Amino acid sequence: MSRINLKDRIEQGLFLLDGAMGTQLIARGVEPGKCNDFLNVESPDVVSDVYKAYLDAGSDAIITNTFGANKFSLARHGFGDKVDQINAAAAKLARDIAGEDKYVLGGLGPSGDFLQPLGNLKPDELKQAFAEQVQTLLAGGVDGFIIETMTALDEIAVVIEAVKSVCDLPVLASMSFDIAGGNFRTMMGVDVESAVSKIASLGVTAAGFNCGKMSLDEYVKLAEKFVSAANRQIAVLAEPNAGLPELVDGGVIYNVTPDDFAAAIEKIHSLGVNIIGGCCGTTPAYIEALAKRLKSGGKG
Amino acid sequence: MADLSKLSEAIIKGDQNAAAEITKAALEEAVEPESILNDGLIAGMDTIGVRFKNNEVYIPEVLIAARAMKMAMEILEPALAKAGVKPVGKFLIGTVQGDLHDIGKNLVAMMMKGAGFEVIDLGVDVPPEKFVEQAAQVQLVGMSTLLTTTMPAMQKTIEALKDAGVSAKIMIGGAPVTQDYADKIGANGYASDAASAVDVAKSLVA
Ligand code: B1M
Repeated sequence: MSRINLKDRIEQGLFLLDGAMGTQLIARGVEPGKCNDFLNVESPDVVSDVYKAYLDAGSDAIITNTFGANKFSLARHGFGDKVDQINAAAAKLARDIAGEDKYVLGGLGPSGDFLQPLGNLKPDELKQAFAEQVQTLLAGGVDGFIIETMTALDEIAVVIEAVKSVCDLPVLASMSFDIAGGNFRTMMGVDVESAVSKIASLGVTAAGFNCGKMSLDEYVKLAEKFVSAANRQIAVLAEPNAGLPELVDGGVIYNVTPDDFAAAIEKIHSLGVNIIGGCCGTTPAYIEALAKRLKSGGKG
Repeated sequence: MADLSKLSEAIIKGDQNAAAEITKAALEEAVEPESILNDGLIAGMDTIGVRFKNNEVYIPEVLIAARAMKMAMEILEPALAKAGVKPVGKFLIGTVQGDLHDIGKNLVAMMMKGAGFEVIDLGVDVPPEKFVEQAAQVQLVGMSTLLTTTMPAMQKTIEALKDAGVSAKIMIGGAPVTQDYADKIGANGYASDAASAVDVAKSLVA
């Protein structure tokens, strides 16, 4: 069955994204610290293999491996002039694997700098850079966009505007929260209410959270806050981490099991959060555990 | 008489124009440069550091305060040099090899400057050799990392520093780093946030 348009599909209920890309690449032998985004060009088979594992595990959508494929983040790796090449390769890879049935979301991540006056970026320059990335991903056949791990409201607003300046596809917008002073805030001090009201005012499909340094119980509480702030005006999206990694005998391990993860996500889903995936440390096993638990009810 | 509490207030608010003006006025009134530094600028950054640590303010406020401090320092520095005021110590900092995160490292560098240290910032993805090259001229070497996967690079760097006979004290930090880890790899100090980094640094160079 060929897929229906993404906006309608999201309205139907549970929509499972994929899990982490970075840690999966490392698990497949990619050296940590390498430019993950350039692997779309350099080692496409490794990236495809991760996508395929997530689709087999039950993801409805995969996210292009382009979290750092904006001009600014690529420049840190010396690839600032390869935005088009990397994003075109990434979109094609994802589209080929997802085929006609599954969805592909173009992944957008932070620039890694701050807008003026805190940092060096000018809003126009930021918008133009993201519009360029979006244009290339769009040409590669993505069904929508997901903006992840943002911490500043001005930056996420500019990136949303950049997408909107290029196309009308659905946008999912997500920020990274931690606990600070007894409240959930991004590192730039943005609380859930401000995030939701700003993001909702920009006409996106969903607002949510990903990443962070919290426990699963805390992610459930964060989801409650989001659902109440969203007040059914906008869909909510959740992509928690598999906890925080620990260094054991020189290797990195995540202590949260796929079952723990799925149990927490089930609570998050029961609050009314329908767009769900995993961030750092999650693997196809986590998505599979999720899919089993959440899709067995027949909903979605 | 120039009011140095107003100067620290300007720093806390991040009002760079007021910070520059009060600094100029104080110099014109022949206030001791060292007092302008300690009772105005450092006092202001200290307050911001404590508020940041207590989650009363966030990164934007710290960046704005640091920018105001920088403006005032540009005016004050020649006078400090002339008066022979020495920095509290020389501090070398960098994000270790394989890691490109720099926000936390920059905040630590700013707070250290804010506390009167001279800071040499090596940037991100700094290989052990580069730390070794610069370490001879400082009392304190700081390393930051945000990735669990690059924590072992701290150990490698400490080994390289020790092999090279560097006598500077070593301090580490960054979200995944712990006091336990610091002890395990032989660092002299660890701090969980930028304000505590200043306290630890001061105790290490004392
Ligand atoms: C010398 O003595 C001292 C003493 C104290 C010291 C010290 C030194 N250094 C720091 N401190 C202390 O003082 C500071 C102030 O109080 C504190 O500094 P921190 O640095 O801890 O805190 C800062 C003030 C604020 N915090 C930050 O700046 C980090 C925020 C988060 C969101 C983050 C950001 C912003 C970024 N990231 Co990255 N990123 C995440 C972070 C998730 C999160 N919510 O924390 C984290 C750190 N990232 C992670 C990852 C995995 C990655 N990131 C990557 C990239 C990026 C961006 C470029 C997008 C951007 C960096 C921009 C920049 N210019 O630095 C990639 C790595 C690239 C590389 N090779 O380095 C990539 C691999 C993602 C990818 N798949 O590509 C995770 C690391 C997991 C782990 N523990 O290993 C992560 C925790 C997210 C997560 N939840 O999984 C203290 O730790």
